[in-house]
Amino acid sequence: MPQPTDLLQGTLDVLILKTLALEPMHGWGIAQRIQQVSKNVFQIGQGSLYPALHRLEYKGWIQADWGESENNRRAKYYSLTRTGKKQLQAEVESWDRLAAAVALVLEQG
Amino acid sequence: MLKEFLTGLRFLLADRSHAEVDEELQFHLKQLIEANIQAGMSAAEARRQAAIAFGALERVREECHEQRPGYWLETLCQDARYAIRGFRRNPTFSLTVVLTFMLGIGSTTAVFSVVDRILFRSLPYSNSDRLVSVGLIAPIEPQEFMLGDRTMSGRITKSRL
Repeated sequence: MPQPTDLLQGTLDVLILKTLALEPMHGWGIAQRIQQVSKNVFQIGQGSLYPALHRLEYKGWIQADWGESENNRRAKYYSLTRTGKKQLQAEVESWDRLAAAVALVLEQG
Repeated sequence: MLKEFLTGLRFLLADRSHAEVDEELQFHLKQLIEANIQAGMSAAEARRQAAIAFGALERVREECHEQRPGYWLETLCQDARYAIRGFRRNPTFSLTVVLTFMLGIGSTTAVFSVVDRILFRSLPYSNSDRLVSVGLIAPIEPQEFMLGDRTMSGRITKSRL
């Protein structure tokens, strides 16, 4: 099992928002998708995934609806709301700024 | 901003049930078991590994609950109830606390209301900075200007004789 690293606070939120921007998905699907796309770098435990999902829902950035999963189970599907879309854009921008700034500092000299 | 507040208010009033969170987590667990089976584990082993990977269900449930908007209010109410129970259990202590607060607040208010009028507020007249006080300043010490001269003391001695 890989060593768990501390994600920068709030990073998981933007990853979830981005994943949900593609299509509505249930918690399991979100975790799988992020793991695949990040080439197994991010393995999101349910211990942080579900609290994050609920937090985002409480903020009104995503909304949850019960639906049928691929294998005909009742599953909670999350989708991005309009505020969520705006939030995603803002978060991506601020992440870009942060990443660029860190890169500048690390590459000096 | 307003929208976020309204969403928060909506969730504050109508909380999701525990069963709903449970069902969501159970779905995740079942998917995990299925994935393990597809990876070639036996059903029992898949279940076991999934349970290990999933960790403590109660903790996740708790943390989900802690995300809800009114959570701090909930803990605040719990703390308040706990404090009140404590007071009821120990009336002498609570009475002492109440008395201390009463005296403390009362004396501070009294002193401040005087000091405030005297030192901080401007006088209730126009041009109060031009107000002057007129009066005589007399020394308190009555002996200050008494010059003991010889004739005087001579007279005293005479009259005594």
